[in-house]
Amino acid sequence: METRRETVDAIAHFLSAHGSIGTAYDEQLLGPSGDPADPIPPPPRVTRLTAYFPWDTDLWMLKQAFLDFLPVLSDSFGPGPEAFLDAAEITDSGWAEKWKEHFHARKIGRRIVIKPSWEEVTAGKDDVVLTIDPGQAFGTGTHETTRMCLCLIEDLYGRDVSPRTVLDVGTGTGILGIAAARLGAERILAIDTDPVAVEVAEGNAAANGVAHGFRAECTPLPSIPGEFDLVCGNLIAEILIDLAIDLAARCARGGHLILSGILCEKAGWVVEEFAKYGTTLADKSVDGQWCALLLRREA
Amino acid sequence: MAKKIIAQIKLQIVAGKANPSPPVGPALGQHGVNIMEFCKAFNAKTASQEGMVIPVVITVFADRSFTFITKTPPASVLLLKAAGLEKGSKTPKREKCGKITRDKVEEIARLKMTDLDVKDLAAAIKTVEGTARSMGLDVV
Repeated sequence: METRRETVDAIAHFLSAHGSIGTAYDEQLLGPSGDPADPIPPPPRVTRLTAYFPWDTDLWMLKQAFLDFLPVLSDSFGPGPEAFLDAAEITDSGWAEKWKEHFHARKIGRRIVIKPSWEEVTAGKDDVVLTIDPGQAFGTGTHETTRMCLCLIEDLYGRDVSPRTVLDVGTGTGILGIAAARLGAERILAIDTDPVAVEVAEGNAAANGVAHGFRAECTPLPSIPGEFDLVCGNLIAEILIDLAIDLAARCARGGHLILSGILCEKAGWVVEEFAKYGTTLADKSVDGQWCALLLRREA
Repeated sequence: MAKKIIAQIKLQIVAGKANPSPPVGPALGQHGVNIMEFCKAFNAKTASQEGMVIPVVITVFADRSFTFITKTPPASVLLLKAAGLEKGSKTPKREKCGKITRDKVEEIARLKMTDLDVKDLAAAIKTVEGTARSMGLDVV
C-alpha cells in the first residue's frame, strides 16, 4: 500500500492485528516525473509499505478491512495519500537464491579456501579447499563469526593439539566440522535444531569427501553422550551461556571449546560464565563488532 | 572511499527472532544480501529485547555487505505498553480499546522524536496522537 511516513506505525499495527508476520517499507521522494533527483517542485513524501501474511489469509477480507480502516486514518492524521495497491502470493522464486551471485571462493586463515560448488578454484599446494553450499543454512565462511572460528580451528591443528573428536553445536552448513575433518579430526558429530541444516550439513560433508567420520543430527545437546576433544559453538552470547553447562561437560578435560557469534561487549560475560565450569581463556579473536573465544578445559 | 550504497531497507520485525521467511527473506534477498548473516547479526544485537517489535534500517552496499541500525520500538507498541493493553482494536472505526493521557503521548513523542523524522515536538505529538486514535485509543 501507499502511505506517508507518519502513518507507518499505525498501519503496521493494524495489519499485525490482522495477522501480518512483518512489514517492510521504503520512502521515496517522488518528483513529477518520478525522478528522485528532480529539483522542482518540493515533492510529497510517499512511503510504500508491504506487509506479509501466512498462506491461508483471506486476502479479500483483508483488503475490505483495510479499506474500512482508511477513513480512520484520515480522521486520525488528516487526509493523505493512503491507498491499497496490490496483493499477491509470493512463490519462493529467486530471492532466496539471489545472493549466491555474490558468493565466491575466498581464502580464510593460512590454508582454508571456501568455495561454492558452482565455482572452480586453483588451489595452492597446502590449501584445504572446502566446498560449501549453504542453501537455507547459516555458515558460508563469509561472516566474521565463522571466519574467526575457522582460523582458531586451523591454529589448533597447526600446533601439536590435533583434536581427534569434534562436536559442532548449531552446525548450520556443517562448515566448522567439515574444516576440522579435513584438517585431521577422525570423528565429527554436528548437531542443529533445524532439520534443514542437518540435511545441508550432511550433503556438504559428502561433497567434501568426509562423510565417513561425519554425522549430523537434530539431537538436543543435553542428550549427547560422551566427551569430545573440541567443542565448537558459533551461536550468540545468550544461547552459549544458556548451554554453558552442557557445552563444557561435552568437552574432554584438557580439550578445547571454540565459542563465537559473541558481540565484543559480551565477551567478558561469556568467559566468566564458562569459567564456572572449569574453563580458562586460551585465545581470543576480534573482527569488527564480533569476538571469538578459544577456551581450554582444565586437565 | 566510502562504499557505494545500493539500497536501504526498512523493516519492522520481532527482536531476537529474525529468520529467512518474509519479510526478511524477500526484502533482503532481492538485493543480494546473505539473509542468514543478517538474521544472525540482528538476533545477536536484539537478544535482550526479545519479543518486542523493532524497526530496523539495513544499508546494503555494492559488494552486498550491509550494516544496520535498530530504532526505538514503534509508537503503537509504546502506546499499548503505556495504556497497559496487550493489543489495540482490530476495528478502530467501531470499537475503542482504551484511553491514554496527553502526558503519556508527549512522553512517547519525545522518545520517538529522532526516529520520526519530524520538524518539532508538536509534529511528533501529532503523529503519536494519530497513531493512538487509529488503534482505537482515546487521547484524554
